[in-house]
Amino acid sequence: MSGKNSQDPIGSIKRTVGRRGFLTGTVATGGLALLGVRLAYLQGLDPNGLADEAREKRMRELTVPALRGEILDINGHVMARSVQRYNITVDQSAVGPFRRYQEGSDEAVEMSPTELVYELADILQMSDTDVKNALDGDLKYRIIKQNVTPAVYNKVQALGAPFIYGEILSDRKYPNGEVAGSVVGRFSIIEEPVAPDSTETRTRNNSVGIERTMHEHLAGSDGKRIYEISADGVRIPIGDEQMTPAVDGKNVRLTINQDIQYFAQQVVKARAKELKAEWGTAIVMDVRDGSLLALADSSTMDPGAERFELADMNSRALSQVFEPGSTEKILTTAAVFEEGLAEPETVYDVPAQLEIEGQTITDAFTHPAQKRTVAGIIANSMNTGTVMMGSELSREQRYNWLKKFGMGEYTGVELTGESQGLVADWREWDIRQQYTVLFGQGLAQSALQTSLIFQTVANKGIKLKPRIIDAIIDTDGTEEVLPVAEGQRVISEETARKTLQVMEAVVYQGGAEAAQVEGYRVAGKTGTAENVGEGSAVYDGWTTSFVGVAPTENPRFLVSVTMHRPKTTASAVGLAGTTAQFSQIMEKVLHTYKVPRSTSEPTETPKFAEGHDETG
Amino acid sequence: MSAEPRFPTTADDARASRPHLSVVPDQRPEPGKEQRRPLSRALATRSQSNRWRVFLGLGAMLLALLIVLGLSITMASRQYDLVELRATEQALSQQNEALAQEIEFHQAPQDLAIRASQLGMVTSPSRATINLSTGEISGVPMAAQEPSEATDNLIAPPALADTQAYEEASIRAEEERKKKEAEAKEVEAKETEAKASASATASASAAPTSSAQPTQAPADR
Repeated sequence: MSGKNSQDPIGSIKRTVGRRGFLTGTVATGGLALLGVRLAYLQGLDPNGLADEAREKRMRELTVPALRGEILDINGHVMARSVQRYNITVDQSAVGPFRRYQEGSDEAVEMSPTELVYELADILQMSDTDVKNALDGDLKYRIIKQNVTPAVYNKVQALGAPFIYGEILSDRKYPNGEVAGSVVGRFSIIEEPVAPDSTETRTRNNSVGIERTMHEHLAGSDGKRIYEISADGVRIPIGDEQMTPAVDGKNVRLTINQDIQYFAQQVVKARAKELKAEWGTAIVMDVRDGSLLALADSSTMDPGAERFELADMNSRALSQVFEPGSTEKILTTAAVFEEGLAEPETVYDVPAQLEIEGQTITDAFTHPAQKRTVAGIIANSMNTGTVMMGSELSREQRYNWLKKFGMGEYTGVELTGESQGLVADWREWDIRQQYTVLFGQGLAQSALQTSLIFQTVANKGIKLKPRIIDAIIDTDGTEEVLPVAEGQRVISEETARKTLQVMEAVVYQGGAEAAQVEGYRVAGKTGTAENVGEGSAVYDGWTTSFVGVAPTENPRFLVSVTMHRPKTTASAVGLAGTTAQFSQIMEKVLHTYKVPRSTSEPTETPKFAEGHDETG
Repeated sequence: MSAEPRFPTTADDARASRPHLSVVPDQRPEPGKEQRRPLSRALATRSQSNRWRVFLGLGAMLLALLIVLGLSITMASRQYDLVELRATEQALSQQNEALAQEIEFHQAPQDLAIRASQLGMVTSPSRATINLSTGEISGVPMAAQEPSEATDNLIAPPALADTQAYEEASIRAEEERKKKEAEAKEVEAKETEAKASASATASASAAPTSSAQPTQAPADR
């Protein structure tokens, strides 16, 4: 108890140690504190942002680009695919002699830039001077050659020049070129500055065709990879890593059959050349589901080409509208049948020329007054008879029937550049127009819209939306087949059958014999329309067309061939028009899809009233 | 306070220090082997066990360090492997891409058509079908014949491609074009020859055979 006051050796030892300890401790603690403060200063406060800077130096952000999906034809042939390409670039300021290490040895060969120029010129297939010019200068960045294949890039890399770089990029390839070029379209998304001297950029989507309409599915989304690297550029294994995987784009399978597309394009191009037509177009459609097997134009852009005509970017079958002419008579006939105003055998007293409300309606051929059946009127494509039949419909009815068949409305097909066509309101029709619309003048529609009349008739009266996308295929191969849109009943099955009977008379009893296909029953209608040229106010050209379906007993395919403004007179083109081309394409389609031959003979419908003939 | 009784008092201290001092000489004249042995033994055993612990500790630390070193070496080298494998993967996918592209360009219909015609193939003009249930043949099957007028390929090969297939296709298309030109020249030469012989019928052969001739008056407008 009193020990505190006495001499305590242990205590004194303790004190001594304590004193030394205290000193050491103080120094140590002081040092530690200093370090701590410095640590807190650098790590915690970090006013100079050193840690961040260091981290940033180590961090690499890498965009993992999503691979754009492929566009396939109905048989899975690739029509568009993305590939990896490189731009070969140079840092001109670093150009100089360099040492090249041979593989498998430590010995280096001294290389001069001149030697490199020759080697590069050989690999890049450029002239020596071009390569030399690209290497000369003091720019930090200059492209030597754009868009080379990985194989070429690898060869360039093997040269070992430290100032030559490769810049990775993605390129879109179109292996079929002009075949279906305007359908597949062209991928072109440009990033450009908002203003000439602005750093802000905006994206401009110049894509057309499927590349544009299906962009959402094709594009996918880019991924991102953030990681730390060490001094030698290799990722630090235990460093931070954030990974957002890229989602590759989906493949889009079209209803287009590239072989039929090629064939149709060949036929149309040949015919357009022959007739010196401004353009020609062909449509091949499956009438049962509206699938488009081909949309062929006389001239088509090659999506992979650098230059092409603007007019070739979209399919003319839907971008060009024109007065259809006599093919519209099928719409009038179907409407008259559906309203119960006539039957295929109903007889009309067709005069040599028809005077109606002070308007004179004539035919393309001279004839005396005749007693014609509906089949006879349509088989020889008489305007007079068609007006007689059609004028039994009220003006409003005529308009409503045009609308019911979708004239003047977008078809809704997933392609760019579609035109709506033009059907004026019936209240605004002039005195002549009210009759001419019955035979396809005084209104404008695209070849695709016109073909929908025939599709409806051939599909037992149900109109379908044209189908161009067959399926969207996920990266794992799951196919999402796009269902056929629900059709719209326009005319009864009975009316469709009767109309088809009349269309068959056109091919077998009328003037379109060249449209026949050996072994199959064919039904269709010719059209030779007058048209107004661009910048013109008068009818100064022609559009000749043929739309038909086969086999008549159970229609499966529709082919429409149109030639716009041939540089010949209508009489020189005559009925030949595009019937032979129709026949060629239809035969090809029927053979390709192995459609069994028709077993029945074409229905014969009397063209004249009993006891009458051409002489009246 | 509870610790206080353990501490010797001042008196005790004096005693304790004294006997302690006195004990030392006491012990010296009695060098008992039995007494030393346990001391030495105890010291020996103590130091021995401590050494073991230290060795054990150091060893464990060394081992841990070695493991860590080994781990990080493997991780680093795996990282290099990864880089190498990625490069291999890329090379393979590039190769795959290039090969797929070759195939696709070879499949292009316009190239296929030219290749087929260069091999002397023609499209058969007729086709017949056989009904398997009745054995009935419809249509007249005929051997393929050389068409009277060859259908030219009118569609150019795809532009700007950088594949082998594309190059081949371009060469083929060029060959075809030259052949056509030569043929046209031949025809022309023949024509001029015929004209030179002043035959009036010669000009008929030059008339287009397939152009649209109005066989009938146009019946629709």
